Amino acid sequence: MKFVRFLKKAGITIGLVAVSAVWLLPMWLTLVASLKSQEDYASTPVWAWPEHMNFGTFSWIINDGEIGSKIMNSLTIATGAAVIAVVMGFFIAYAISIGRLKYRGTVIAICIITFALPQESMAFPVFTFTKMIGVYGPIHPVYISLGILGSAFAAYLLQAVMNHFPKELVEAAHIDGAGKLQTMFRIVLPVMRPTVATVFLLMFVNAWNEYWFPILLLPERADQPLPMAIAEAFAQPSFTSNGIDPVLASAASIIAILPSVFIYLNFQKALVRGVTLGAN
Amino acid sequence: MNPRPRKKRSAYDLFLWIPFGILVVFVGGALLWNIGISTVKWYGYGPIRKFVGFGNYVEVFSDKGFWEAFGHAFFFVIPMAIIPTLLGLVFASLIFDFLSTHYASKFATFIRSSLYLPQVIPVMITGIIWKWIIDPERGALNTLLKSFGLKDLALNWYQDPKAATLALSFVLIWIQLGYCVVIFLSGLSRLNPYVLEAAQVDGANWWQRFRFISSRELGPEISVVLLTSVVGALKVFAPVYYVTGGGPDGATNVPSTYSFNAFFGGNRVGYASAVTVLLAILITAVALLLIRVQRRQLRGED
Repeated sequence: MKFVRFLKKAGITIGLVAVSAVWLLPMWLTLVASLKSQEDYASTPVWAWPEHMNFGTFSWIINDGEIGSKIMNSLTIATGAAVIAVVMGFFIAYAISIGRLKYRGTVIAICIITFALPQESMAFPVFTFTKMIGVYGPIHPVYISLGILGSAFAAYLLQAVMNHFPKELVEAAHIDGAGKLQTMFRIVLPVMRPTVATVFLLMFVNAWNEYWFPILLLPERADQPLPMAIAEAFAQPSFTSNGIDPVLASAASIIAILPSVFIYLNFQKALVRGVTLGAN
Repeated sequence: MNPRPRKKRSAYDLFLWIPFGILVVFVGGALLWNIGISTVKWYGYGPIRKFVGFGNYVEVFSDKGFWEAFGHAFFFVIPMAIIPTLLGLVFASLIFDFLSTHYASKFATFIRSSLYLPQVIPVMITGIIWKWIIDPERGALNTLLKSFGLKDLALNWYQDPKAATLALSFVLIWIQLGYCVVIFLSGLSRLNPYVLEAAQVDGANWWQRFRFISSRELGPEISVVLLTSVVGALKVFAPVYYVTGGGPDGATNVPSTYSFNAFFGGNRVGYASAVTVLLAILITAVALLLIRVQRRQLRGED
């Protein structure tokens, strides 16, 4: 009986390992391809580690693509959007959760519809509108739009946690003569800080990975965030005449995902918590 | 409780209405603007050519490409919502079993992290990675298949419509599974492990525990995951745009790529806006279901 149970556990373990191997395989293939020379790629198995490490493709992309300025663009967009979303979202959540305003249900419903709507139904109008009034080009409309739209999701997540905030604390502060704003900054915000940080991180990653607004509003390569610039410049089939170049495309992909993987490895717990906030 | 004096309420109202007003004006304005543009013919630059009323919608409804694109969006609900939800339930409960019965939490974390990784990579890069992997000539997938002697399975993923749909479906599962697993895992953590243990002692096998305890406890999570994934499938854009570009010959076109192509490729901005309005209506209908589920949960909480 014990032996059977052991076998079962072993089977499940092997199954789970196999699935995560399949899930990680594309990353592995991309990594080894990016480190090979064109000749190496043609002559060695696709899964094999390169015989001679070749960083030439990387340095070529980094020099040619002005990676530094693209990272700055990404940082500006992601930080700007996350700050706007979290500040707006926090006030909305505070009003409906702590203030218990009676239109709470309606506010939540509008937030849900906002983040469910297809991005292009917001991006097309912003595109044509900014073009019409002539602010087309720079990245300000991108992160302002993303921030305002993101505030719906931020408010939704924050209110889910704030609903459980102990009412006695707020009432005690009011009795002691603290105003609403004072209570917010002195009592509620300090307690909510981990959640606020989590939501900020989630908004940051969402804006970093955003494609609709950059693709429409940032036609100039110099203004584009990192992943978009890489995807548009180095990995489009039009870049090579005959299909996609595996070595070039994978090296470009590795450069573009490094910041995301860095964030993921360092803040995994917070990110996962953020995603699950809304669902239970 | 005494009704509070009006003055005390006003601060909360201010907190709500300044940011929420901006949000509502932005979203409402964009939706109205979209509807407005959908009634005109316009290149997207220069003066608006003419007002056509419902003309764009008539055109949209008589285009075969539009119906195909919406058909594909409904089809992609299978790989992006249904399959990941089912697989997610199975994997989450397997991982959770491990956590509760073994001291192997490092192992469980590793599995969860690798399944969740596709969720944090920028989607356009996911698209590029898969695009070169499925390249029929030089890509990793066909090279792998050929080296294992599976030449018949090495399809032309770029040119063959069925192969392209299959490849794209797998990419969507690959992207979405981690989201489902993570949410189900956090739902399971609410579950009292002793209940499962007691069931096990009473002789319930894994399937019975899953069928009668875990999956019932997870009701709210299942509906949230399913509905958000259905929304995601209906508005899917970047994976399609970067992996297949909607091709070959429109075989994997979805509403978002279809309207994007009309917007940029054809400079038919009014037409593209009409498609977007229709998609927004469809998605709002699904979102209303999501709101109902959420309401029920809120009521259960209070």
